[in-house]
Amino acid sequence: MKALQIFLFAIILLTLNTSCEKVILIELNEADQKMVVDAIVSNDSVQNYVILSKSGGFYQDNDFEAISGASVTITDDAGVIYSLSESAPGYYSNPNLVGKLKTNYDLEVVANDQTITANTYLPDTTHLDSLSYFLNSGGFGDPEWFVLMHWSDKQSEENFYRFKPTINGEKGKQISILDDILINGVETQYPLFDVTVEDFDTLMIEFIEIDQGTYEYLKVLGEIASGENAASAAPGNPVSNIVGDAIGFFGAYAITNGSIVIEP
Amino acid sequence: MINRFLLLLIIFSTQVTSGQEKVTLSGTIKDSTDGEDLIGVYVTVSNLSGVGTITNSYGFYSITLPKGDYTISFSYVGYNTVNKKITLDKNKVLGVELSNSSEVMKALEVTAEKENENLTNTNGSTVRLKPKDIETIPVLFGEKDVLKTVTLLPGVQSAGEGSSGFNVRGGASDQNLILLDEAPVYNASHLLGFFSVFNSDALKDINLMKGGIPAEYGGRLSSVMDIKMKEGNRKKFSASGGLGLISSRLLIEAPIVKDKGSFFISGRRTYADTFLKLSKDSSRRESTLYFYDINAKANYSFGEKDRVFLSGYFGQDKFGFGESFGFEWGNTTGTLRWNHIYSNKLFSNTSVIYSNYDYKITIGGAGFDIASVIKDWTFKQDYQWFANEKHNVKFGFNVLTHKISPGGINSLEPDGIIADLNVQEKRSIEASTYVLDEWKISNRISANYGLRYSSFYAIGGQDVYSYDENGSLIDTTTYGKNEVFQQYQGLEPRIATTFMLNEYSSMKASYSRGYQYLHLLTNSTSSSPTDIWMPSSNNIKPQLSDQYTIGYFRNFKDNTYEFSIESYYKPMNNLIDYKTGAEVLLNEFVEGELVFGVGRAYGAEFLIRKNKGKFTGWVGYTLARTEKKFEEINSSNWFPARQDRIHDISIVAMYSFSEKVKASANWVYYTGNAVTFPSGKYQIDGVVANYYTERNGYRMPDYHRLDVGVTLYNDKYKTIIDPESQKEIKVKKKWESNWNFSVYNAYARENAYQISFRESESNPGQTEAVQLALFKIIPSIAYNFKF
Repeated sequence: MKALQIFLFAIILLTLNTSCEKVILIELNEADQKMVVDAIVSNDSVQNYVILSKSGGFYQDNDFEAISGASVTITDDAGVIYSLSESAPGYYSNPNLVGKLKTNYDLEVVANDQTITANTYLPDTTHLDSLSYFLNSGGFGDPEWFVLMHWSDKQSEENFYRFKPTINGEKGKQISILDDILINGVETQYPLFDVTVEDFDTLMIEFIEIDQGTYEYLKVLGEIASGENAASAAPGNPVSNIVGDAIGFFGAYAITNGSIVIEP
Repeated sequence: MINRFLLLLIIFSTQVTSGQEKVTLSGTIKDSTDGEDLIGVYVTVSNLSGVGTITNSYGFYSITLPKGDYTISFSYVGYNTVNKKITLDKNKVLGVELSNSSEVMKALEVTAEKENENLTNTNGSTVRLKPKDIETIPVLFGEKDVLKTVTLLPGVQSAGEGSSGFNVRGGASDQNLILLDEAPVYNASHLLGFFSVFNSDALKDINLMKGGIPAEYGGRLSSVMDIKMKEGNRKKFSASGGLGLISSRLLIEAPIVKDKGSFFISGRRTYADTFLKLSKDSSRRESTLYFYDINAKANYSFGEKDRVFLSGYFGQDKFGFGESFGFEWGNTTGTLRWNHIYSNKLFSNTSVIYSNYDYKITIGGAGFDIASVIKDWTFKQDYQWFANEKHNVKFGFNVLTHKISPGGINSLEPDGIIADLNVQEKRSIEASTYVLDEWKISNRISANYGLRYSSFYAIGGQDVYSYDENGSLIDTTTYGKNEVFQQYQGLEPRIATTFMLNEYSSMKASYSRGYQYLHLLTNSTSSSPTDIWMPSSNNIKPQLSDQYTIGYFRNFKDNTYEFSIESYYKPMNNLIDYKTGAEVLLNEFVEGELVFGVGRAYGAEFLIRKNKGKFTGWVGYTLARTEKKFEEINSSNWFPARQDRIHDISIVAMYSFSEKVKASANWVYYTGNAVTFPSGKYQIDGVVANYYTERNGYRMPDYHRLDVGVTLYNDKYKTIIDPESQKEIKVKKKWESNWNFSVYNAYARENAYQISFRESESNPGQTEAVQLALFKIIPSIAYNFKF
């Protein structure tokens, strides 16, 4: 709905044609460096990792200091312990670790004399039935392709989704998520917003079921990510499942894939 | 408590009335040209200093005096004072018509006797405006707007550029009670706030109370803005209107039966979207973007003692793109009132009031719409008892029912891709009763003291949720349709006093307590049509505030200059804020996303004003702080509220070169709002995210702006040869008109509307701060007429 408001605002400004935008320099405090945990388990064999880094000042370049030499373990609810080793600076993984659906996972990281823990739940997948597309000519500007995802939401439970599109091999940067409040138990078709595709593009979708904690985290992350035009009334840090003096999150993805080629 | 209070009142009034035999003079004061009731006219007795009264909202006055001969003086700012000699040997009725002083051809210097009203009235924190006073003040796009103009006064802040919201003494914008002919207006903005819903053509009187609010008003913590529509010309048919850059307006008014009843109807519509029709782009041509509003009112007198008024407002905003998308919202209000004069001392007003606010979003492409409605009915009974020359007592009660449907989604076709969703309708009742006394204790001291008792009932017919301290749902209870599941009540004492130090200076002090049972939920910075009003419930306690004020008022040079300094302290309880990432819209469990805390606002307001002469205007300065404290926010430390502006300066200058040329300028400056900016960043999930440390720890850049305007009046008079005397005389023209030219933001200051932090477009791998300014220089022109 915030999008709607920004959209209306854009129309007014366009009509009045008076506004102007410029880059300014604002003096910002520099917060103490924090440990950042970016950890994922999933049912996809290549997406199980823990990335450890440090936060930086707002005006520095986007290359963040890696945290090396940490001890990282992930334990499933059957008590199987996976020890993750550093395969690149700050990147920890274990080829034997592939997430099992409907399983709880515990993360423990010991780095720089500091221990942090986190717990996440890898839910069951919801199957993506198909993808379709149509040319949308209503709206502002030129007609454009709209891609629809078709699936049946499970009536009996609360479901949370994340959609990660890849167009011609290039990953989309937007965080698009959805809860099932408006589609509970419905055989739905939902448009992929924030995705622009052209004729003959190949679109691949990771259709991901996530748990509520991951959903809430990503929702706030979407508002404060600097790739977005973040302008919340009172922005704040997302509520994290991490226990200890660190920021970031431990997420779990139940992924199904789909792909389609746009043929005009 | 109330009984004892009433008893006290009776004792007071009997004490004073026992004595020599007294009689009562009463009547109604009107404007001589159009028969409009005049509100706030001073009625004084020339040979008895300190004895007098003022007319009420319906122009009625009543004064009780010992039998004798008197000269009664009726004075009103901008009007010629009328003195009437009267022999009071029995109760008498005296109606008077006052003429507008600018109508007098010769520049007669008319001195109203009550020019020191600002010193003597009990309420220092009240500002009264008439649309005429503000007609030359330059405004955005030349659209006269009372809501924008009041923000030029100390203690009243605009909620920001392009917003009709305002903050009074550190209060939130939902803490202002905005009444249009007694009907509450829930969303006072058009076009997301660029304009207010109030068409100044249709208004007669605007009274803004910032503190020491009399007991007859309640329901909001910070202020009351009581707006009265005009009644319509009781003498003759007349029309007025204007053509502006953005909109055009027309008002017609006429007597129903001369001097017995009248009506007016006024309309306004914008035509910004007609420019879209000229666009080459077909989809742009199909889009709509406009608002319109209609004000109408009729009144009729049945004999001397009864008068009935029917008034209404209807306004609508519409956005849309062809069939695929539509968004409309609007307010509707209606008020039916009956004035009855029981005796020359007891005046009664009975009102039935309806207020409705709704919005609807239609997304044709996806086949669904979202709709939300607030519906209010009020029954209100007010009495005014002019007990004697020292006591003017008001009492009454009102019952208000709220029905709020926070929103729902409905599929437009069966088997749609969206499941229907309805957030439960919420019903509640507010009931209150009050009594107050305007008491002239002595020539020097007067007081307005009273007590209001308010109560609130949340009614079932819905599921009621309980949450734990983390906001997780722990219990659901279903209540029957007429069961009360939560009740709140409270006593609201109010007192405002004035002590005249001498004839040119006074001290005033006040205390008032208020409860607020309805709360506005919004998670955007600007006002949005989709903001949600929530009634109190088992989870949301009523907001509560106490306000203490003290002020010093002084006039100079025969009341040419006014000076005042007033300071206030206002602790607030049960304020509402949100958890990070809270979803307000269409959320059945929104109460679980709220957090509750306390606030405090304090400050000092300075005003120097020049009221007479060719050059008029004022300088206002406010020094203030507003802070909040929530356990869940900012590590439970006090933090500045968004509207915390430390310095706020307004300068308004109007110069009358001649009857035909008037120029004006205003300049505003204020400290930027408190905002939350990042203090670092980090990489997560493939994106760079901002890292925040403290809430509202930064400031927007300071805001300042100059507006200038000039109004050219055509000659109001023409010269003709009097057929009888063959001399040249001047007569008033039927057709009056003026051109208004104005420039908003004359020195093109780029004031920051929003600052966002994002990845650099020119230099990926870097992040930058980007400032959005809404307006540079905006010239505008308007033509206004009246006949």
